[in-house]
Amino acid sequence: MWRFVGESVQGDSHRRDGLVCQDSHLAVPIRLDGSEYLILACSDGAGSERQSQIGSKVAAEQAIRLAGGYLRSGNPLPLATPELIRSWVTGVREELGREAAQRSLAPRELACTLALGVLGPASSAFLQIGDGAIVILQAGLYRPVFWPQNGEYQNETYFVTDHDAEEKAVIEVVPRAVDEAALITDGLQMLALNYVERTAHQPFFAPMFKALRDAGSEAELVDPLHNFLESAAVNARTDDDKTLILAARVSPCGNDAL
Amino acid sequence: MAEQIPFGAATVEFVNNPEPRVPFVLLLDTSGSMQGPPIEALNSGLMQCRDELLADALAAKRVELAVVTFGGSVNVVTEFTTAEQFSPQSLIADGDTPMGGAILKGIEMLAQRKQTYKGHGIAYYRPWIFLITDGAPTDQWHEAARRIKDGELKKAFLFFSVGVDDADQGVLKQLSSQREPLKLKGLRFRDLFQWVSSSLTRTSHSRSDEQVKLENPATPAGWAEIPAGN
Repeated sequence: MWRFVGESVQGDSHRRDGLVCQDSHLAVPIRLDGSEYLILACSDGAGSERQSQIGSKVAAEQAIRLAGGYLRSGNPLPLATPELIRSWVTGVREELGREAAQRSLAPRELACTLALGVLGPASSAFLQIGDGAIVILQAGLYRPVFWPQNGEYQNETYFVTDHDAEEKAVIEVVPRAVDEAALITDGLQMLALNYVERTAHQPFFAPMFKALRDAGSEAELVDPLHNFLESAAVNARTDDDKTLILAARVSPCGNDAL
Repeated sequence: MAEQIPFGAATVEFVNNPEPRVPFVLLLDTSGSMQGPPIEALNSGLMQCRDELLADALAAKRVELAVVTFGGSVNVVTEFTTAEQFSPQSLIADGDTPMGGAILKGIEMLAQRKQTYKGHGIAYYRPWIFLITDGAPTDQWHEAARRIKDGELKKAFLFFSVGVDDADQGVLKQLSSQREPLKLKGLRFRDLFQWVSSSLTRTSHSRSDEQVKLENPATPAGWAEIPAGN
């Protein structure tokens, strides 16, 4: 069983500039042969493009559709190769191209980042293009699977719509079950990551996962998470949109890992 | 390079304020010809620039100013510091115009500052170099021009120049291969610095892959004009 909660909140600068929240996120649990999988995605629409919230929504949905389709076709997650996962990038970019064409937009206008996590009973797979982070619990420590992809400058990153997104994508298949995972967009990077050590801030994640596990139900956490993302303390550090998804396995993996 | 050693002052500075930085180098002509109203207008423009950066919570923490003057000699008046810590001292106009040396100094300071950021895990935006002069260089400036063009090509920084009064716009034009020099209308330093601080503020707020579109200062209502002959 998975317990998860997620929220995307508009940043102050978007409010000021008349932009909607351009972040999107999605979490979909899948039950297959008695095993519980969870697929998580978040995407940050480019601030320079006024329609990029459409892109981020399409990218998150399509990434989850492709990963879910792979699992539902009976393919075991541990056998997913980086090459196969890379083909999902192409799939997402093609879907963005179709969406752009339908709306008479250039694909560039739907530019967005992508972070995807597929959590299985005995293995996990991760994919990222651009900034933001996927943070997982491993050996008792929270660690970012990938460091956010920025260019030399803070306001440079990569997008799924880039012609070379497949090359820019970073992929990791972990041959173990991951029991806690978080996805964030770059609006939370400064708070959630330690830039000097290039690690995750343990005090940022540990209390949140504890709250997720201790709560009577996920519904109890919706308001606190929203209020946290809207809080003055968070807004003092960022005026960008921000997304946080937290997911924890609440029952042990069971026997399927054996 | 003293800043890079561990246990240095920079460590405390970055622990207290780990925000990404927008480094901004001002190269200011303080040669003798700036005496009187021009230097006074420049001084009050600097104060105003700081006040406007301070008025924005993120810009106050993210924009770092360094000031290099060239009047008689090249002087680093202020090392990189956030607006919160910036206390502009009154500049005095005197001497000739070693503009080439000031440019080289500014470029060197930027390269060093980037190393300091990297050493402390501080993210940063593309730096700005902003030169204001009312004259012509009295030292060698061709090497400086070459270094500016090289830096522009490598996207190491953005370079802006503004001529005041009878500044040698011809030389300014040869400094950059990406941006025409501007000419200040009269002594509208206040308007110039208002544009600078609002452009830096917007840069400090810019999000992923957002190239900040700067307002055109050379409109009829703006503080600058593109000089004739350009």
